Amino acid sequence: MIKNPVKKDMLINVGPQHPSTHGVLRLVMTLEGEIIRDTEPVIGYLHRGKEKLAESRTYTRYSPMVDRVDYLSAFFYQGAYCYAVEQLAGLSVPKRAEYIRLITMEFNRIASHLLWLGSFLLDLGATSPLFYVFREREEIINLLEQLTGQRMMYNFYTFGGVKKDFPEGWIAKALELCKKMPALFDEYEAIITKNPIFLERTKGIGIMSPELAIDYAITGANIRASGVELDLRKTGPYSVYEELDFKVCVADSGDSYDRYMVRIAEMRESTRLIERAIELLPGGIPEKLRVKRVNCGCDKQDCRYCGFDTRLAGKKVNPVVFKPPAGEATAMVEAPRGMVMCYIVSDGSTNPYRVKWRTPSFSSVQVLPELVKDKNYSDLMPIFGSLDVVLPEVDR
Amino acid sequence: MQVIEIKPENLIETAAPLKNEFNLLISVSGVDKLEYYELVYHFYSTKTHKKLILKTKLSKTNPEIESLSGLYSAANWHERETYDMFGINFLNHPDMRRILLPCDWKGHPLRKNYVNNDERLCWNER
Repeated sequence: MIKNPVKKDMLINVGPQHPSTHGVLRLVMTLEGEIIRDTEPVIGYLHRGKEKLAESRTYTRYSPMVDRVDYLSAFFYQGAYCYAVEQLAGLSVPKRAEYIRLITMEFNRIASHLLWLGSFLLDLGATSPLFYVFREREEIINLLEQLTGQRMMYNFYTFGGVKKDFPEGWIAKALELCKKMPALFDEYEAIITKNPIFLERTKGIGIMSPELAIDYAITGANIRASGVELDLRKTGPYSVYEELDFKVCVADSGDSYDRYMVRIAEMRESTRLIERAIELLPGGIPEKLRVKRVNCGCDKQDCRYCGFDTRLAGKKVNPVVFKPPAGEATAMVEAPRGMVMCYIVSDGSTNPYRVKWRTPSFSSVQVLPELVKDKNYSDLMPIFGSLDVVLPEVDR
Repeated sequence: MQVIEIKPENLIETAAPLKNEFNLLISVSGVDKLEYYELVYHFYSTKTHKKLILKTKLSKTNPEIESLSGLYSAANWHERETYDMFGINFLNHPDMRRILLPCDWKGHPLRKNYVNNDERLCWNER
């Protein structure tokens, strides 16, 4: 590790329990004076074996666990999982349910970016933005709590739809919040964007070139800040994103400051998306929100699960008999931190044969040694914070 | 989504020309198919926005394959994870160690025949 003991290189451990590592990450660093010469991230402290757990659970019983992969953007993981299972089983989702998914996902994106903003500035030593962002995040979370009954781990999507329709008055509240939000973003920008201390610590720090970002398969806001227009909402549309008009927020220099600017712009874009989606929200009775007939595969009229009577009674899908046919499916979703991929292999039984999660933070941690190499130690936190890493998602 | 099935020894020859178009290596995932291990590489193109899957079969007795980390830096950690979970050995990999599990862990958990019988973990028994 220490290459040059004569020059008195120092080996230090940052973490695992370090206040600015957003979880449990250990960085073994070789410093020469204050200059970082070598970094080796050590991960796995939060490994919960999500992929192994899927083998012993049915598709429905695994779905609440999916939320726990990333606690800040639970909807996206649920979304990726549901899209993959729907692809396997050949279910199509009703329009209104897709719109509900889109609206909740975008709210979740704003909440996630807000928390990132607070913790990033806390890393830089600014305490007050944390209180500002929690004030707004609370309103979003209250809204989602009214809808789903949960504040963070929603478990709201099901195969072929969502569990509930919007409660009464929810849409009015959501619209009101969307109207309020841009003014609040202006408020953050007033204290942050032109702040000389913030500029000094982030501008030109941690520059990620587009080649480096592509080489390490960085996705999400981090690669968009480097000038690569990669947004699955636009290029590989998965929900009803192609019906909505929005722009992909791109910056070009790829430093910490640009990553901040992209995320702020994305939050503004998300509020616009929600407003537009609420306008276009197709009507429909709550019963239409979910595909009722997830059959056992026989499709006979007298079957207990696929029969005509079952359809009329509109019984809930029995989780025990939910058996997608053998095959495999890949679903990719644009989460706040980047591209989430869920790869499911099914062998035709009630349990998934293999579930693979590709999480964006995993790549973001991998690129960290390249970004901090030969930089000052004090630049570590502005760089690492701006990558928006959530460690439970890295370790799964 | 396009799927290409290749033999393990042809991996580098297939992946090198593909790199011009499919420049993002999204993930490397292993699947234990009982008779053989299947390696699945997901690629994405930032130019044409296409997705591609490369699949290859590895024998159970001696699962090893050439590493892609020379072509894609992203492969480094993904292959370490696959080694950790499946015990698939990647040749010419710069740093072939466990990544998610502790370095003294016994066995490779995502193999279907994995049994957790490490006597050091006796406190897990209830």
